[in-house]
Amino acid sequence: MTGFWPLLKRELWAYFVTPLGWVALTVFLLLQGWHFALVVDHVAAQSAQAGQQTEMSLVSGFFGSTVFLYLILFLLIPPLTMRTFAEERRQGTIDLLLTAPVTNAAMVGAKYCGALIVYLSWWIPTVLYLGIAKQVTAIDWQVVASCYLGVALVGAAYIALGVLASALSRNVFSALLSTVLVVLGLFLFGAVELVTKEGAILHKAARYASIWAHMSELSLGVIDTRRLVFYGSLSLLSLFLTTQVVAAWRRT
Amino acid sequence: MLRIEGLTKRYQNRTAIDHISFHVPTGSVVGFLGPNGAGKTTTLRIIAGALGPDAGSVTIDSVSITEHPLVAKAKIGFMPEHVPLYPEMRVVEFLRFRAELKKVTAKDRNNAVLRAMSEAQVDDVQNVRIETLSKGYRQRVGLADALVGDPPLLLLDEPTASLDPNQIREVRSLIRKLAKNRTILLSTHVLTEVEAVCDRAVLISRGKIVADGPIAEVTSRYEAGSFRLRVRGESLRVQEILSNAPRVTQVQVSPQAGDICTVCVTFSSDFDRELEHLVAALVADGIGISEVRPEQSRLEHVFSELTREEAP
Repeated sequence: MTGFWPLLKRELWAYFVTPLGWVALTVFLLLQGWHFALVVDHVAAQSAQAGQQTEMSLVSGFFGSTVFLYLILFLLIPPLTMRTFAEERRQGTIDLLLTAPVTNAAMVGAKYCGALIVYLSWWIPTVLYLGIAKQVTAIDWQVVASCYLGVALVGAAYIALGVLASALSRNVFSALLSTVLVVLGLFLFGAVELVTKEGAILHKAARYASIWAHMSELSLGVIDTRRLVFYGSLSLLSLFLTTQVVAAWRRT
Repeated sequence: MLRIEGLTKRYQNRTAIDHISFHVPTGSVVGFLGPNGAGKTTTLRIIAGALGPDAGSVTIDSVSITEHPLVAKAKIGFMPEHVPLYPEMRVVEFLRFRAELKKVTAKDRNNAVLRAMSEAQVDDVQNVRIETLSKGYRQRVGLADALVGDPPLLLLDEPTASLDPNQIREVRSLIRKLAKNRTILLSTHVLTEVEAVCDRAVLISRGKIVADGPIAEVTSRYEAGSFRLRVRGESLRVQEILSNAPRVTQVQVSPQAGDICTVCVTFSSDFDRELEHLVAALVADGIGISEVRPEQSRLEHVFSELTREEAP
């Protein structure tokens, strides 16, 4: 992994000194804040009707019960990853990396980890939401931890797909579009479980790949190792393919 | 220092470079000449490790770029034709990043960057964002990047392309300074650049090496050239004398004001001696000569001779 650290530092530097990084963070927090407010309203209304508080509903509502979580990911992960390789190729700066003593794995690893660290940093302020909610309701922090594990896993896989799409694209717009299509396609494939018969192969396959189902499980504090394997495999396979794409640039 | 053996690269149905071999001895400055599209940039990108060859080998100090790319690349400073830079970075930030990437230790990094900036004369803009720099300064930042880490071999691809005459002069002067203690392979199609700074020339045309050796040796193999003369006398008589001279292949006489005319005369070979005879014959005939100058340099003539069949 020769060259990994300087490249990772450069990636993080680029995200945080350009306005795009801060705009993305602001949009993410505004949308998540709005999403959290909707969930709080909904849980408060339910509690008032039932005459009791359900602290699990607040966390599971935020992390697993609404479509907003995924919409925000579809909206913000593609712009986060679109520049990783496509922009370097457009500007010609990819030659700086290809002619430096840097391995392909280090190049891909640094781009991926840079985007992943930025993505995870977006989630840090959301802990405050739960801190605020804790003033009025009990919060199970173990469930919260499994929810954050879920968003980390989903993000890790989406980002790996986005980095691969960026490596395959000649410009940032096609990288953006192809990432949106892939992550949306993956999400919709998971939703097929809702319209197929239980027990059917397609239903099983869709359930195995259903991000919504995975996040619903994790938001209840259930950590299933199959999910770890699914997202781990998806991430590693995408990153492996990306290193092959980078290696192919040297051949053509 | 740099040895290339049987290097070949194909793009789909087109052969960009075809079994080329040459070497660049330690401490020399070699001009890598060829028309646009001859295969210069492809060759340089393979040497720099950005592109893999289909056949052949590249070794730098006996280290193969394909077998030990990380070791070989550490010995190379590459300045591509279109210098790629991160526009949002300041010059010093960019060079520090490049130094770290090139594995310059943290202890030596600051000095390495300062030295490169000083050599490339960009220390006065070290805190300026690259996006605001002029083209000339960007070229120099690219040169500073190639110099960071003090690599023994510099690959410079068209370093003066699209610069204005003052900037070209400055960059050439820089290359001459750098040539004192480094091995340089300078790719260009500007022949005066090679004549100004190189000891040797390698000519490539349509992906094949067509000449290789010290510049004097390369030009002596193709003794021929054109000269422009400014003479005073009757133009028909001038034409007659020149056309009858041996080894003259072409004469063009353009009458000017009064009895002055300019003449372009082309020799097939051995033109030094023939030019003397021709001047003597004109003077003996009472024709005054106020100027004799080469129409094109010898290297330029060799270049046009060897690359004549190049694609339009």
